[in-house]
Amino acid sequence: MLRVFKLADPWLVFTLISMLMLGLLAVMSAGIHLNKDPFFYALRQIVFILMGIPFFFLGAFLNYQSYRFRTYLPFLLGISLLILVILFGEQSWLSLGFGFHLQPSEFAKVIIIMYLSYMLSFDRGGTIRFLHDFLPMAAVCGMLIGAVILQPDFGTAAIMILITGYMLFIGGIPMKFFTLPALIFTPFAVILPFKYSYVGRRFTDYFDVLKPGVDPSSLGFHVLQFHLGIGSGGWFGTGYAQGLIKRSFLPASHTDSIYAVLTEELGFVAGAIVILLFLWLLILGERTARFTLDRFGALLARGIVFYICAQAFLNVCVCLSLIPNTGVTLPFFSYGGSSLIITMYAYGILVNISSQRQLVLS
Amino acid sequence: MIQPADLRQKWVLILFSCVAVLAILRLFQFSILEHDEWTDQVNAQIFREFRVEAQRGRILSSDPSVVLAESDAWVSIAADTHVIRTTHNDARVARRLSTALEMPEEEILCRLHSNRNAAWIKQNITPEQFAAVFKLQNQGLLPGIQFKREIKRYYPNHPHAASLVGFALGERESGFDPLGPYKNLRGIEGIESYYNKLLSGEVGVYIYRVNRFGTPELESFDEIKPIQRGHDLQTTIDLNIHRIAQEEVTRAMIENKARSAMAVVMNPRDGAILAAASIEHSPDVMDDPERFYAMPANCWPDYLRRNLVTASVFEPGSVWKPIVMSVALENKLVKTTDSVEWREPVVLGGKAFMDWKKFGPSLKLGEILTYSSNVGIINVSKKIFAALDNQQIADEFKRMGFGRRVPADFPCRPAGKLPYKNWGIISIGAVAEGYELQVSLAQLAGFYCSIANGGYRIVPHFGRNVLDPRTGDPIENLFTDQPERVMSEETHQFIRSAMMDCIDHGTGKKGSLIDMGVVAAGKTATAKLLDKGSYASNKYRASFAGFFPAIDPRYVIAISVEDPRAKGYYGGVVAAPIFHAIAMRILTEVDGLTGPLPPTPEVTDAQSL
Repeated sequence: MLRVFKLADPWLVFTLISMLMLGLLAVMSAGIHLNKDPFFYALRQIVFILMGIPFFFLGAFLNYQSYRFRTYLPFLLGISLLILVILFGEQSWLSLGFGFHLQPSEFAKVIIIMYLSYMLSFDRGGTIRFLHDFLPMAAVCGMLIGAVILQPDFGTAAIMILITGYMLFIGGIPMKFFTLPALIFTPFAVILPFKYSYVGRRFTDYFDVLKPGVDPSSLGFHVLQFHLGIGSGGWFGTGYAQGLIKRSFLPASHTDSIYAVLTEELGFVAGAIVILLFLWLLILGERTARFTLDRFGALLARGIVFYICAQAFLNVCVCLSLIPNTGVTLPFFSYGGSSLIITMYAYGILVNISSQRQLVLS
Repeated sequence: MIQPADLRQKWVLILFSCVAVLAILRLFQFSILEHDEWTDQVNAQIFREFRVEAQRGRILSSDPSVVLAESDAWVSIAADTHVIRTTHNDARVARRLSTALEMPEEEILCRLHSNRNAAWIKQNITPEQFAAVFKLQNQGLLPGIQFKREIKRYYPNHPHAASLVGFALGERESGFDPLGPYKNLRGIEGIESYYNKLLSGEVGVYIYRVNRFGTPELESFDEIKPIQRGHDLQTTIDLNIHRIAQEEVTRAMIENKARSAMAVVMNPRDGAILAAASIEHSPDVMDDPERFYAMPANCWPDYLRRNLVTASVFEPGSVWKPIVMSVALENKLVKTTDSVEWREPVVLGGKAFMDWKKFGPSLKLGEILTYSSNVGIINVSKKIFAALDNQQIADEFKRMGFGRRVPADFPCRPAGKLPYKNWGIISIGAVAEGYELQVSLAQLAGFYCSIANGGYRIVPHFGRNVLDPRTGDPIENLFTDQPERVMSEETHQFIRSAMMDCIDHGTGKKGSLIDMGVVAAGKTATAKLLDKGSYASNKYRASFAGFFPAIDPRYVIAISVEDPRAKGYYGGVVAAPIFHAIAMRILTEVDGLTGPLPPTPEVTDAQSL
């Protein structure tokens, strides 16, 4: 089993450790003022990391070929998610007791990647048929996404749509096939801001930012706090744990907004390092995918890397007011158990794929 | 089989790279380019600043135990009883306040039930009590309870030195907000205004953090700049002498039915102004002066707020003659032993200058001053104007201390006028007699100090020492400059001797202090007043400048009475008696003389030279 780590790309493991450490530091600082116990969130994040390590090893040691499954698993998962969350859930969470919560939609993301990698890995002789090939894949993914939308958890659903779209896109599906899903989802996307005022407000806040010469005091509160936090950092920040914005001003400072806390305290340098770390991960993933054994492995590796990096870039872009607020967390950095454990598990799979590459090379 | 990355994946990677570059550029924009702007906004959002005004320093007379101005500041707690009544919170508020202020609950309840709209709960609270009540108030637990910062400035010896001390006013407080802007008490006039910075001290600046809802985080209170009490200022004003001078000029103005009167008393050794009394005729003040003095200083009419000694300039008349004489002597244009021809009239530029009485065919230089001879001084002046040009003459006068703003530390102090560019042929006579130029009484007194102190120019001033407000020890001596010699020993002794003669047997006999055994020196002046552009034939200014004792003088007194109408108008008749009265009272009331001094050996010209 240890041979996996001897053969795997060491940069992958190094990058993971770097991100986890940096993330832990950020959570430790961001959580200081959120609880009477200043280390409450830091200790829990350590517990989550410790819980994630077995999952990481599971992903790393289990041969990725064993994830070749067809329709039944995602289908079952979709139905179970829907029933569980509707019956027992609070929005998208399931309570596990002892103050821990499970977010089943996190699992759905990885399931979609596995499912689509398998379905798209067949050599169809250059022709992909709409009814026979595309529609079943789209239907299964649509069902999972629908289950998440019904929770309702639009942020996660948007990520799942992105992942699905990306997998189908690089899987070679003709562009015209995307028309039907686009026709189905577009009306939902248009209605959403009007039906849910908080979604609408995120858009109006964002458009306020785009106006030239806008008075900062008229910005949306959350957007303004991002600007204040990131803007006051300078080159090297105000100093670790010395940030001011996280004191009751910045909403979700330890989860969605952790990038702003990090940038305020450690400055432009830390902010740029985080962006470059994820870009670096994208390069590592692409390297793994290119030299992997088969098309399934390549798709799986790319899917996992996309799943991590897309979330990261979305989160960073939200903090930098480049896009409206999506409610997406920063993988490995944001406080949170479910997403961290699942992400570590997926990362384990990536390590496993990279170790297989080395087998071939050797 | 190893799959090569297809074109679509390349596009995705390019897209990600572009997003990464865009994100880093955006980060650069916020963190680096707009850093200062956002930092300011963070500070504005999170930090609140409040300023606490420092207690203003005291103004003391030359005797530090006599206070001319002092102030006090404290924070008190008041209740808006209307709010208390309408919200029915009295019992709860009283309970909370009693713990915070360590006061009996019943007493607070009693105050809260006051019939008035506002009631004091406790005045002058400690910082600990402030913090405790502030915390409760911010939690919304004390409706109707307010902080009030009280600042008061007292003038215990008001009104004697009011026109010198001036007054300080504070800007109105904005409501009851304990952290609201408290504007400094600011000196508006007089010494309060000139020494405003020294007296104000340093405003204490404190900073605290607020949370998202604006609630202060008490543990975050931090002192940015410590509050520093204003320094105490010891002035040169001797309140006893000032009171004497003020009483005497007031009496003289009333007795002489004059328009105004003023007197300044100085110490010739260092230029310290011991008293600067002035009064202007006004039916209101004459009827009931106490009524005005009982009002706050800022409500006074202008003529009470103004001190003529520093604020008014006038044509001095014959008291200017010693200045002309000293210029001539210093420039070696005449000698002390010289005599000048006396022939009336002296015609200059078509104007005939006459003397006030007939003198012999010639006059000694000393007699010119002793008897205040116009013709004699014009003859001296002719020599000056022949040897020096107008500007040089004006420069000589400036060297003697004229044309400068004095006292050195007073806000309203015109420099006077030496319009040398306008001086023509007639001016040879006019300037010699003390016309065609304007000086203030403080400048004149300054010059007579030079004669009294051996020929050194001093700077008339009010400030003596800056005192530490806690210990009362002097921390800075304000006027320590070495006096500059402006006339030779011979000149000063000659003029002093002539002035002694003036009191002994000249025009200033009524200024004599010989009945107390003190030899004084002085010079009288009677100047015509300008009225509607020309010299009036029946309006005069009577002046007198002198010092005593003549040898090693301790006091220089200059007096000027404008337009006296009752007992005559000559300086020797109107002003010299005021000199006598002030000097006598100083000798008896301040210096404690009870009778005439034992006779001193007579000082002759030969001895003094």
